[in-house]
Amino acid sequence: MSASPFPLLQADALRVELGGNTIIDSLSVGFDAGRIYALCGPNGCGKSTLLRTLAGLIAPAAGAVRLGEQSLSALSARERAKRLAMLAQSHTTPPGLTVHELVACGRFAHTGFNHSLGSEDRLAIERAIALTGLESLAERDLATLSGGQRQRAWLAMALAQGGEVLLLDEPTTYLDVHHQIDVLATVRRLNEEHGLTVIWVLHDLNQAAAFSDELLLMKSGSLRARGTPQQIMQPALLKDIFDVEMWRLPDSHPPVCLPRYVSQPQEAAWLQSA
Amino acid sequence: MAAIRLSQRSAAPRWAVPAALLAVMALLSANLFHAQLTDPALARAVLLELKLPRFAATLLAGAALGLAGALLQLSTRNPLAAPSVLGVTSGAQIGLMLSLLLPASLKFIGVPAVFAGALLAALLTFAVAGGWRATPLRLILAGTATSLLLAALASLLLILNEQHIAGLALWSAGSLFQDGWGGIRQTLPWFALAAFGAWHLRQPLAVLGLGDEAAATLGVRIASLRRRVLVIATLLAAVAVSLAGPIAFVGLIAPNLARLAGQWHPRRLVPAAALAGALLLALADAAVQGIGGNGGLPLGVATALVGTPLLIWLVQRQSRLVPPSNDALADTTPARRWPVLLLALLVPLLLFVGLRYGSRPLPAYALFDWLAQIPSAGALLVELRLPRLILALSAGALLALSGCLLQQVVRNPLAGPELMGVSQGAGLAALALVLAWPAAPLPMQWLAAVAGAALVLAVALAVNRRHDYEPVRLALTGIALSALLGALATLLIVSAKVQAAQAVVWLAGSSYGRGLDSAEALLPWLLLALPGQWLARALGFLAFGDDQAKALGVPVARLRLGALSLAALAAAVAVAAVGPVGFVGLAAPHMAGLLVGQNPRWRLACAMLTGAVLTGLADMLGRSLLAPLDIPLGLMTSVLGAPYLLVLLARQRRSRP
Repeated sequence: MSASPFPLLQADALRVELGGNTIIDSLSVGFDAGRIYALCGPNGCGKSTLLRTLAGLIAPAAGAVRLGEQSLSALSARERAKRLAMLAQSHTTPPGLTVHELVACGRFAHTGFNHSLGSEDRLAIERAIALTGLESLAERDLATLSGGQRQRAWLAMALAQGGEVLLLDEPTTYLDVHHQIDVLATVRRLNEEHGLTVIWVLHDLNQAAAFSDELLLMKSGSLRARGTPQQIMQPALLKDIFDVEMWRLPDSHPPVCLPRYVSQPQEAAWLQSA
Repeated sequence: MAAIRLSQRSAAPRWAVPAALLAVMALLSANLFHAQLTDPALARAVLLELKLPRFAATLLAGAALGLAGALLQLSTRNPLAAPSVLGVTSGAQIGLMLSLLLPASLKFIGVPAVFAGALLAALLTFAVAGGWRATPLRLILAGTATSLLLAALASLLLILNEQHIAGLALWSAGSLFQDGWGGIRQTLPWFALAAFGAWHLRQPLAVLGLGDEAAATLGVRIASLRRRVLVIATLLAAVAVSLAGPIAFVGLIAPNLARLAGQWHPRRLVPAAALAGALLLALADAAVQGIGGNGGLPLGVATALVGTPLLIWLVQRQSRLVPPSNDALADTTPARRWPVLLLALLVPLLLFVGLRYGSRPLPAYALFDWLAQIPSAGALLVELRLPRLILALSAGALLALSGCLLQQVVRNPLAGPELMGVSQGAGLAALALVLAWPAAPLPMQWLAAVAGAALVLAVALAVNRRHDYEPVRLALTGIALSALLGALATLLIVSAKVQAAQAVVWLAGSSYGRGLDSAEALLPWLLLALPGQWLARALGFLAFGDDQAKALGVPVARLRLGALSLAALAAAVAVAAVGPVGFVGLAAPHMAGLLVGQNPRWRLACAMLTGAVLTGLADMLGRSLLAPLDIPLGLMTSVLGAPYLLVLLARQRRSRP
């Protein structure tokens, strides 16, 4: 899959401004097809902005995003939505919508204003519902679902778009640890079985390392490091990005890093007293 | 758990709308073929040329309003958006009137002219409120200001062109009377065009319901979709106004009725709202024809009579009505003191200018003559002008006091004596008393006004107690109550055959021809400002929330009751003196907040001065602009105040990112 000569999604010399402030400056990055990338970094580092720019939601002030060989800005909104799906961090849940109706919204790019669902559309909706294990809940009102079920329903909507790229902005926020892993594992499975390219913003570094092929560390609007989980999960590197002392669990596989909550002298004193 | 129960409850009567529609259809067809005429040819002609076109116009206008309301509510994700709330209806009315004034050779313009007026009004509202992402409260406030301004301009146009104002009440209440099929033929193509467009917007609107960003990732071009919605909804409102005049309410209620019947998804909501709108208007028209025959009961009155109970019931039932919004209006205004001083200086200046200038300049020594009670022309002029000025200034201050306290008590920037129905209640009670007992002494009139105001306030609060006086809910109740009471006042005037001029005085408020005794009676009530000042500071604690205020030892319930009584009293005496003058009570507190910041006592002082200056200025301009014609005070306050409020709102938006 990654044998293709150039990356599936690529940003060239990107500069993004929001409300007059430069959030991202001269950032270039490429994403190969069929892999999972995690964007990590401290709050306000520009990772969500980068994700939204990659999704075509923000027009960059300079530079360009390319999807395959085409510039993203040259694509119409619907052309883009057919190839690339994104889920925002929080959602407006309109009242009185069933799961099936929500997932059907994902086909807007294909059906357009008429919204007559063809057999292909129905198939895509059924498939997305099956992939996320929502068959038994398809006719339920969204408002009656639990947080984990609702997140899966939104994921199903993005999958129904039928694109090659899925962008997720902190998909595990507000979920308990069981449902966090549920969402992450579902996406990982989709990537392995269907070659879906995934870029997600994750706060939990260990989850990012466990479920992604590559980690990208951002700080102050620029890309600081990029590599496999083994390469990125280094206490020195993480200290540089997050300004927190870390230590890495020896022989952890996938690598696990934990913050040091007390300074080293304190730690020594604590050990002695214990 | 609560969400589950509620959604099940509201989904229950899915059959309600179709069933009710069938019932009304049956009723109306019976009405259609109910033969009063013995001559079959004549009966046939009446059926074909009067009754059927009227029925078709009812359904068309109702459906258009329902559709327009549904589109606007869906695209703003705001269940309170509607053509009339956003000022579109008043804009359409202006367009219609201008198109009627055009020379006959240009008459074919029709719907497009109405449409242009409506579109301009909608654009103004949205531009001022801050675009398509404006919060519900801002949008409604901007819409109310636009609406009041345009309605006042429309009334002015009528006064200017008709020289008599008999048609005013009928105009503003709407009528479905059709003279043959001409009206239908003219509007049907536009309706078909707009309905076709609306039909194709359903799915994009469903996607838009997921949120702007989610919709954008799904391939919806948001700005272009909303522009399309605005144009189509405005066209629909224009069709309705062309057919039936400005009918409030239907556009607001119909989509909410459809929701109540379980039709939440836009694909079902859009057609269901059209159906509900047609049904509602048909019911109202049945009431018009059933009760009064042609001209007896104005359509606007009937719509309000049918719609208000429905709307209030809806407000109570609708568990998902209110979108979360945190919309303090003037939180960025820095604390300033100089506007208060400036306004305080303006009051004596106004008094001087108001006395000095007018249709006839004041002779020298007039004031002296008057004080010394020497009969002269100058003394007579003072005798005529001074009471009016004092009345206008004090009534403005008292209305502003009432609005300020109401807004603080219910923590709702949309409260105000005229939007809570308090003004209309006081006006209606005083009007009823005067009609029943023409020689009623002044104190009795005032007592009636106070009783009316108190009653309305009690109803509004009782209805909303269950929901802890939630802002948007209370605003809706207030809008409904004021519409109902306004309608009742119109009804009373129509049925009692009051002279049109007198009617306008009562509907819009006026200080015309009031004597010194009224002014002397009103002046002492300005002392209400003292307890007002005390209450204003105490009410500041309520901003922490009831529980926190109680924990601080504030007697919340007693405080609220006291402030509300004071507000009702202040509004009632002002209304008893000059009639239900609109706009001041709503707008003056906001202007004050935008001028001096949110310190409760300074805001109250500034609001009272602003109200006084606004009303005094309105009175002066009202009597001199078109002299010898006297423009009703309520119209002038809107004409003067609304643009100012719009400018303040727009400027504040720009200063905030």
